[in-house]
Amino acid sequence: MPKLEMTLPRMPVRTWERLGINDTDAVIETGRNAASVATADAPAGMIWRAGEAPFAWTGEDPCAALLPPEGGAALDGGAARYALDIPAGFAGETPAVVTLRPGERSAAFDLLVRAGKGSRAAVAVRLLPPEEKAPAGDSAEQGVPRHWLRVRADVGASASLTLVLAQSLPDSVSHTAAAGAVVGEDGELKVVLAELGGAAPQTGVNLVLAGERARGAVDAVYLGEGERSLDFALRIEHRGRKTLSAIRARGVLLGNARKIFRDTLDFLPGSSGSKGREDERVLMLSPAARNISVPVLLCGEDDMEGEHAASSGRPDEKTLFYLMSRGLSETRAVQLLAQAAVAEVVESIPDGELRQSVRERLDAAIREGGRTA
Amino acid sequence: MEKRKTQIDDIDRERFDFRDADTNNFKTGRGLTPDIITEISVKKNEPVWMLQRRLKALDIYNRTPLPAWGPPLDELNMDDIVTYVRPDGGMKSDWNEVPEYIKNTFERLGIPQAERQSLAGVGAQYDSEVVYHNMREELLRQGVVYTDMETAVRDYGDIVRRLFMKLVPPTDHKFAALHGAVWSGGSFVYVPEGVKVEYPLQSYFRLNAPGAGQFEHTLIVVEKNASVHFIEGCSAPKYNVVNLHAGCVELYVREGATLRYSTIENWSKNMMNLNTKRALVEKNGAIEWISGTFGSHTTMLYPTSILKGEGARSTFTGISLAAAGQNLDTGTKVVHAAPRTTSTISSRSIAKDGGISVYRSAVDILPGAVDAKSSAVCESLMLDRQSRTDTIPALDIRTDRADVGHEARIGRISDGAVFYLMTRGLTEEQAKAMIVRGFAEPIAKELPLEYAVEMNRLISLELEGTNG
Repeated sequence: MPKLEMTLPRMPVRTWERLGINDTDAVIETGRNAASVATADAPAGMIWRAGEAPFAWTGEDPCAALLPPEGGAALDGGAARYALDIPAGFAGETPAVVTLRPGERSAAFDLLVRAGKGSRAAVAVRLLPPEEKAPAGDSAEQGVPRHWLRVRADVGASASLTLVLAQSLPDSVSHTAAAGAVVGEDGELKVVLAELGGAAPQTGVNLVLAGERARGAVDAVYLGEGERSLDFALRIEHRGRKTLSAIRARGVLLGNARKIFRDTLDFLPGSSGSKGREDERVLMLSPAARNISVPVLLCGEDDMEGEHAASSGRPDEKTLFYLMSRGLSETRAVQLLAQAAVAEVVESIPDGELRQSVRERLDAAIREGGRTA
Repeated sequence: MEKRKTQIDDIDRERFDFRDADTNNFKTGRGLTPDIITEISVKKNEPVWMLQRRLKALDIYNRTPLPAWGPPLDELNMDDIVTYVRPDGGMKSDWNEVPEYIKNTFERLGIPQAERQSLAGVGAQYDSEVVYHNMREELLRQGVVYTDMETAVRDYGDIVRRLFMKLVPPTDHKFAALHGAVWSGGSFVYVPEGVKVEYPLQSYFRLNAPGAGQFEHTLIVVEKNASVHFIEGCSAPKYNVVNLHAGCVELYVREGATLRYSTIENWSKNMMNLNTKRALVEKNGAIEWISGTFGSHTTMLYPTSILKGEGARSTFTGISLAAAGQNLDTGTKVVHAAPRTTSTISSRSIAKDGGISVYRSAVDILPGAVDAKSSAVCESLMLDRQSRTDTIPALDIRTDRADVGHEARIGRISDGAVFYLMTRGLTEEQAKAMIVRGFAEPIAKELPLEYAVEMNRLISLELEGTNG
């Protein structure tokens, strides 16, 4: 199948080229979705559709900032399309769980989510590895299979939506995700990212706080181990007045993992009274891991407050010693500290089963990867 | 409480915006050609190796594209820039011997007075050449060298040839290559081992000719356990044509040495300020950057510290004020290349009347930099919504044994803070003035006193209630 190679823009404002963070390369193969499976375990009242969406996406495309035009067009023409419609006024505690499983080497999913006015809901999207092995004839030259997921969410006035995007793929596959959303007046959207696997996951998020008093948040937990290379580009755009944003990320890096985490808060002129905060903390558990953080604040409005913080370090030696003096092995002590480091983000995942799987994945990675003294 | 706009007066440039007649001893043609480069070198009586380096740099310049990031540089056309303007008189060590019109220029800027009162040495550059250089006798006896760069090429050729444009090679970027081709003037400072220079050395750069460029080169070597404070200042009258400043500063801080490098930049608003500064710090050495950026139309300036030796330290303290028509893209870079190195960054910026202020930084912690520590605090004050302020830091950490922290804040003057001060008896204007002075104070207090008198006059803080 033809491949489309392209460059994903990753920085809202370019900086020194030698840093290697302005762009990232991506490959997309669409049209191989025949055996792909997408199922939704949705509470009564939500409408799940496959194929043609029950509603059309109109207006600005929030994913346009994450993809070059040819990438968006490829997904428009070749991705398997799904839609989840949350009616106005819907209120439910149980999250809808959407499970995506590619059927062949590569697959692309395109998911629309509409949260109607005044609704309150949560949607968890899980990306699973394909059941089938690569077809005969594939060679190493074809590289690691890559799956694409584009999610676009329309959060209506006074609606509240939690959107969880989770993947724990094996290192034999990888994925690229582009998640965009427009949030209306008094609306609220929280995106929770759990990036725990895959060879080279690429995740882009663009939230547009369009309406007055709209709120947007991204909580991200990520795990780098082995040779994994993680690439994040998160952006929240303040357009409406009195909008609020928060980006919070907690990560653990082991082995030879490499991570680029770019997060941007962009206060446009007219977003008076808005506030935003970015906060990333990284626990480094390997001397060979590489941690790149790029917290960006862009400001064209004077009546606002924006702040960011980024920090990186290893487990505190005294705390480790204390735990080990209480009978814990070093591995177990490190696991406890790592769990504590990511806890506040993991707790924001609405699905209990998913929360537990994140914790187990982290423990397993530390147990298998070890901590080099 | 009624919200009222904060007003900060423009920088008072009147005392800098005077111009002398464009008389000169020699001026090259406009543009950049091997013949012009050779002409400059011949006029300076340079050794062949320097001419060869200039020509090689020109070749690199022609092959290197403009940066694809940062502020727009469309207004810069090198074909319109005169790269070398030699004033009358040659270099003097007695102010009385400096040509009258040049002496008057520096008298108005307060340079001779500063030298008399509080400096160990002064260098004054007018257009492309140093016209005055002097240093206290006691420093000469201690073996301190402070001279112009051209003299250094001739008299200290072994050091210069070894170090010149090695820290900032012409391949670094297009304007480093330009500098390598057309550099002129600047200072060479050498502080021998163990010598502590008690009073600052100062170089002042004045660009008078319209459409000209200034490309001074500063090379400082501070030997083991020595210390010195170097101050540079610059200004130019405003013209309607573009002037260009593409200077280069290379600092070598040896084991246990300390170098404080202070800059007050007040170029006129037709100036493109594309300067490159870099320091190499060895074991237990320390570099302190103090940077005030107030002028120019466009600035790209990122003083860089390479912490090569164990225990090396870097501090960066900077302030910028971007007003109407200005795009000031400033910041710093630090490379931690050795164990137990530390870096501290403190940056403040103010944007008003449509000015654009960008803080851009990069902190690299290399694999061998175990137990390195780095912290950065960056604060920006927006005074109206016509202006912009962006913060674009990057941290690249390649060891688990490093503690790195970065924080930044952007906002306006806090209504809560104003209210609190007013409850203590201050008027609203007094409260806002105190807050803004407090915002700039951590930087202002680091400025050298003899320059602070002049620099503090640059910023006139006036707050009044005006609606809208």
